[in-house]
Amino acid sequence: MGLISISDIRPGMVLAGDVKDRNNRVLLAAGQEITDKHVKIFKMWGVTDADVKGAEQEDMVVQDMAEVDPMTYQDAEQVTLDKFRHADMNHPGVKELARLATLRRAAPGMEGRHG
Amino acid sequence: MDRSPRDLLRGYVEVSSLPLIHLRLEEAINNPKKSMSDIAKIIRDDPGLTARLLRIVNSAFYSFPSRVETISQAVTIVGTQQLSALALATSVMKMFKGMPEDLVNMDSFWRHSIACGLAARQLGTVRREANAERFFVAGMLHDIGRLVMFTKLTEPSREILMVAKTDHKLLYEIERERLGFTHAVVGGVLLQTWKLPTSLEEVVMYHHNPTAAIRFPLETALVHVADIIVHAMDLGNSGEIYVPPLDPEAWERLNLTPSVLASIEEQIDHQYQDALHTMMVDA
Repeated sequence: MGLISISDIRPGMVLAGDVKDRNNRVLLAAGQEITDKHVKIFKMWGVTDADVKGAEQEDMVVQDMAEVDPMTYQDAEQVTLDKFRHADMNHPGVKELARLATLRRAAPGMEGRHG
Repeated sequence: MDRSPRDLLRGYVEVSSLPLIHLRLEEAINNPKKSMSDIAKIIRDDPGLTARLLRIVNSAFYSFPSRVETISQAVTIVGTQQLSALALATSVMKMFKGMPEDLVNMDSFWRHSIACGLAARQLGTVRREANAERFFVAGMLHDIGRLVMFTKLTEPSREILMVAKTDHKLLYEIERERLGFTHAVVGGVLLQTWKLPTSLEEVVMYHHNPTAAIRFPLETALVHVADIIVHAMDLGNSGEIYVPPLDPEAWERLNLTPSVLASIEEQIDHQYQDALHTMMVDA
């Protein structure tokens, strides 16, 4: 089970579970490969996350680092680590908040925000 | 320190009671003989409040498909309790004036407060909780005790802020060491003297140690996590420099997965500017 935030879904990922809208209607079935168009439809129906094969939310930091300028990323990460110095970085929720915080600083607009 | 949170409030007449209109609203809402139009009438008696509420109801906070033109419409669409909660939130902002400017930037303070309210409301919505506005108010008021401390314990507050900076410590820990109580407790006591619902009081009182909340553990956990989210997002500031530690038990209680956090942040971002604009314009 690898629930990934919709903003981290990339074309080519394969669904491990059905994607449903808030009324439990299936939008795309398990086993399907995700395309750009699917992502747009998911967002339109308010889908927040999807179960993706072979991926974990915690791994998305690797994807971020590949998509953002490394120097900018490192600088942003330093600021995040200082702000999170009293937080338990091993907690999956905290880890994700820290990842999003770094992304906000390094690449505003990339963490799923509109513009 | 020889002063208790209650002592601080005793000599603070400006905030010792809520505006009369809130007592009248609460009374009317809890009185089965009063109708929606009675409640609308009470709100209309305060033109400032009426304008503020209409602005909020017509903002991205709600995103209704068509314009809400009157308070009667607002009462019907939003509901009396929700509207009363919003009225409370906007009125409290007007009560705290003349803060020592070197201690707190009120603009930043309310930004942090409003953002926390939005986050709490969003968490409530994700969990499909009824009447999510109560979470907005709870989130918005969570740090209110700090304003009392800035006013009534100005010197100790200045020192506490300094120590936090030099020693890289959490404000509430220094507060506890030096004063024997935290801003959370002061806030809880303030809401108690305002005779606000116990749920609000408990949420504010325990927002840094949510497992101590016996009667309203869910509400408290929700605001605890909301505070951490907006700290992580760096929206506004109420004095604290660092992201407060997350209580794992509170996180478990909300039954969230890390994968929903990006969408929650997106929703907060989406509503944030509009909420600031509508709530702070004449605060």
